Amino acid sequence: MLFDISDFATQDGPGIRTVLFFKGCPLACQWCSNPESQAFFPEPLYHSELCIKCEACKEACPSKAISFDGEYRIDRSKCAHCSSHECVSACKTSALVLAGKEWSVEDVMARLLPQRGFYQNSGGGITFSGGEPLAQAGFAFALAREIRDAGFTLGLETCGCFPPDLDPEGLRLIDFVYFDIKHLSNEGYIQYTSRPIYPILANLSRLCDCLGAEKITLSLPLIPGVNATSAFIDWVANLAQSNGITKIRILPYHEYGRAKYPCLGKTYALSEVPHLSDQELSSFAEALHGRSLTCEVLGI
Amino acid sequence: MERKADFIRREVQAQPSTQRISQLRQAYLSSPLHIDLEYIDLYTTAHQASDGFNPLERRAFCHAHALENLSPQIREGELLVGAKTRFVRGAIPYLNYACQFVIRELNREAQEAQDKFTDIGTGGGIDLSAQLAKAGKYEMFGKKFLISRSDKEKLNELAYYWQGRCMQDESDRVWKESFPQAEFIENGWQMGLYTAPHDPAPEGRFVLDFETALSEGLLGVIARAQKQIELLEITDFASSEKLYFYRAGIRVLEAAINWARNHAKQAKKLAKKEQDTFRKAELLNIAEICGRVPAHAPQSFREAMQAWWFIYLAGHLEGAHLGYSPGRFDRYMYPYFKKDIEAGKITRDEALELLEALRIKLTEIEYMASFSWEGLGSGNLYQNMILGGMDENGHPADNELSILVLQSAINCQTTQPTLSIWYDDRASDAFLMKAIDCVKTGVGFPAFFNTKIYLQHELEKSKLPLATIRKYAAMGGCTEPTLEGMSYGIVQAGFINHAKVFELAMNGGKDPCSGIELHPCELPQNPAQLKENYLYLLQLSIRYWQRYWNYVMAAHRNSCNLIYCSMLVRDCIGHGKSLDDGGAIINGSPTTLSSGMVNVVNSFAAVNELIDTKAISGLEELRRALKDNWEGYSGLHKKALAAPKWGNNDSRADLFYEEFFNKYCDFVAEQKNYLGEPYDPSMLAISTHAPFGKACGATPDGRIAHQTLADGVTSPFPGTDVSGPTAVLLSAGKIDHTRIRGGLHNMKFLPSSIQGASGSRKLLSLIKTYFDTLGFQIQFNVVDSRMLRSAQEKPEEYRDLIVRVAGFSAFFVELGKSMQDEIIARTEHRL
Repeated sequence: MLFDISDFATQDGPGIRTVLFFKGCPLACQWCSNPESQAFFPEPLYHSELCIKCEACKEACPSKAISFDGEYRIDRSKCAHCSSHECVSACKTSALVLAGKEWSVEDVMARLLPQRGFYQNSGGGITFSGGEPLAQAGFAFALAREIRDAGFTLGLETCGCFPPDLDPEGLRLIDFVYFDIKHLSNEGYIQYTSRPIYPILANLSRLCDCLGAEKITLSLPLIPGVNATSAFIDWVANLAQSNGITKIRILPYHEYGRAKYPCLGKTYALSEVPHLSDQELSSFAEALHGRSLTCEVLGI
Repeated sequence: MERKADFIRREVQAQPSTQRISQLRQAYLSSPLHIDLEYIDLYTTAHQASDGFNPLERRAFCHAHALENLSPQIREGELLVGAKTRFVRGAIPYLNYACQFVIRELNREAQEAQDKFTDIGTGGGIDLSAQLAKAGKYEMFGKKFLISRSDKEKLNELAYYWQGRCMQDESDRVWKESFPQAEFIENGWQMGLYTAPHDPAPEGRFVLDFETALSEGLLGVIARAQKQIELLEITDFASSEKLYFYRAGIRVLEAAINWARNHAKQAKKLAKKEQDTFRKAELLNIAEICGRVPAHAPQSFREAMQAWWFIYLAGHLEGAHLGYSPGRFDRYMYPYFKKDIEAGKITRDEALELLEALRIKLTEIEYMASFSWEGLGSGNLYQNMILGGMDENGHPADNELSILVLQSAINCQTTQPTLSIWYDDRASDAFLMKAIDCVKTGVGFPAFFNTKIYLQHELEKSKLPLATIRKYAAMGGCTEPTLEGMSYGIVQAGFINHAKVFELAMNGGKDPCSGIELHPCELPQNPAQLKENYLYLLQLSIRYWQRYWNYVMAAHRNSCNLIYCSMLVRDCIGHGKSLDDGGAIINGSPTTLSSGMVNVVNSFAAVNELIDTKAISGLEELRRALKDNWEGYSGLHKKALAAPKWGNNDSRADLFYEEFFNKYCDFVAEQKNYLGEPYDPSMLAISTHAPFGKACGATPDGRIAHQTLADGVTSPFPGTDVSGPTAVLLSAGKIDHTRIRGGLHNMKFLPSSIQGASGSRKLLSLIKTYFDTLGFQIQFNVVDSRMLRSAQEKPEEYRDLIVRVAGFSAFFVELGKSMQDEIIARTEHRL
């Protein structure tokens, strides 16, 4: 299941790429810019500015999960995640839209193949992102085989939280990996992402053994007040070196995801977070260079 | 990249390379817009004195008299001298073309029917004009120009002299009486089917033969004409017209030389008074140069630059030009540059300063047209300088000067001339990367054009040798290719509103907005009938529009024929004929333009979808929903919006585009232009998509009433290209662009998405891949839409912010509000 496909992605690996966003993630990072990526099932997103309060969705819902008290309310515990999504079909103004769709391997390939010129001319390809692609390993590997057969390169963006016993043959279809590191401590991981750090670090080692450390880049979402500290950078440098990894990518914090939380009835846990200045970012990058690591800072 | 407040700055930022250029640019940015009567006053005096002349000689006599008597313009600190008017930003009212819009404005009468659909900018220099007018010394003329009280009386007097004599009055007198479909045209104007009559500024869209004019000097050109006179035997009307043409041509070329020499005298005079020894020396050097060129061939790059400017400007003064262009500047100027660089006569920095100075000169020119055309054109002159391309042997033609021209635009950010690239995979990496750097400044140019597509078009159309087409392929106007120095320029630059044709088709030939019955046909009950109506009405609208224009051209030939320009276009001298008599090698250039096809395509796709899904029982229900602007039909509206849309590589919409596009090209080419050649189709939008949208009610694609149409030829309607930029290009690449001259495709990027050298290469790969298809043109706005919103709120802080509109760039704050909104709404592609 995917919740988005994004073409002409320019920051998810070399060349022009298409990013496939897998739906479902075992982590729930507080700064997650795609909150609709977290649940493993399709869910309606509600855009209040488009809603005309006609209550057609309420009438249509077989589980009676929707009520109106002047405002649209959905009891997500009652919402049975029906496959028909009557509420979304009933909405006349597209205030309710569905995030998440089952895709067949064939359909995804039919979507990608016409774009081969862009991949070939730019040295680009496909990147799996999410959500956590490896949480849907069967689908991901089947797709990966077709992508490699078509001659496109394949990248993976992972949070590191996936089953330890994945098929190594499947993993070896991946050309390069961006492996997220979000905090230096187990407590931090649990507090901000809801999951412990240890299985993730173990998976990092396993991935290095399986693919070779040269294919792996550590990817750091830097959040002021959470992990944007020189101690974290220093710890990441150690982690990289102990695994033989030489490449780091920094993702400066942005707030573009904040507006999506109310659409899902969720609240954005982080309060106002300041922007990282260019100076701060370059001092982090320099610290990594000083440890003989290459570092790329993405723009927002 | 700097991040300020909450939006992202552009990656490449630069300053003019010298203090001098900074000051000249600043002077431009802080100048209001003026009307200057000097030229037209002199022209009118000559006209009064030449009653009874042969029309060619009379036209030449008037232009020559004006040119020779204009006060020479040398501004403080200038290196290149000479200007179209006495003001930094001045416009000439070409009353000899059209005077009625001026008279109406003087009498404060309502302007044309289209005015109700148009809005024009209010910021920047326009705001400055308004402030000065309030202060009392000047009055506003129209919405943006200043005029002094005494000049206003003069303008009134001149305008009334031209009443009944100007080109527009002459053609109106004839076609309104004798053209059987006159009422169709006038109704078309009323309802926004056509753009307003563009008689006030019909010229342009061609390139002079600068190569020859520079290498022979104007005296050399005169000698060639003289030779023809000697060989000529007068035996009939045609041969006597040749004589008149040569005499006329020699007269204007001599005037251009005299006009340049007036600058030499003026420079000497200024030098005498000048205290600063450095500037004194500069002025003396200017005097020497202006004494020699453009009469003689330039001896240096410095002289070639001044000669070029005089040759170009004398042509610009002759007519009310839009799209009159410098062409392949980096090709024909390169020999002068190379020679001087190799001889150590000039440094690259000195050359760069001259190129930057030229940008300011070209940006200073303003034009005056009717209010609706100012809105449609956003006040732009569409001067297009195109770089790169191929030489006659098919090798890439870019050189060091090409790169320097790009650098001058990066350093000295002005709207004119717009830069273009004839894209070739084999062009040097340094050139292509410099072009992307220029894009990243956010100025919106260069635009990239697919050389191979145009070569195919011109091979089929002109039947000229491939080597000639390669060498002279240029751009005349925003996105219309032309063969440099050998093509007839004037076009049927009026636009047809496809969305209005659709509305008429849907309603049996009656316009639901104005209630006017244009051409009765059956009220369609099913998609097949609708399509039949649409194609029928489109064919008629095109046919009548083109036939109408030929009446205007007949009047143009008699009153406003371009004599100076004819002398500098091949092979008018050889043929002994002016441009309007078919003297050029290529006479098929006139184009018919249109915009809004994307909305029509989406509407047909929606009609099919709505009927297939049984959302509507028939067209009647849909007609009601459109009439009510979807109110009370929100469910249907949602389905219409969700129907297949152009720009998603979805054949359910794309096939309609291909079909209508081909029909459009067929219809346009069915008609012959004033010179008996088939019209050559073109599609672009300038700013017509805003007023055209305003003129139309809701359309089945889900567009609500009066909303701006999709711009350009292939750009999707904002917000409907949900599958991303690559899918948009795959859709656009299906259209056979070899069939048309021109067309454009807009894309907007966040600065961060193409950051760094690797980002530049990704953009180049995108262009290459698009051009591997049948795609013709692509251009980029690299800007954060939050910055644009901020500029709307605080225009004073963004005086020099440049954005790409259609085939040209503009200062954002000087655009009309609807264009500003449209640019903000264009889908922004980010990771």
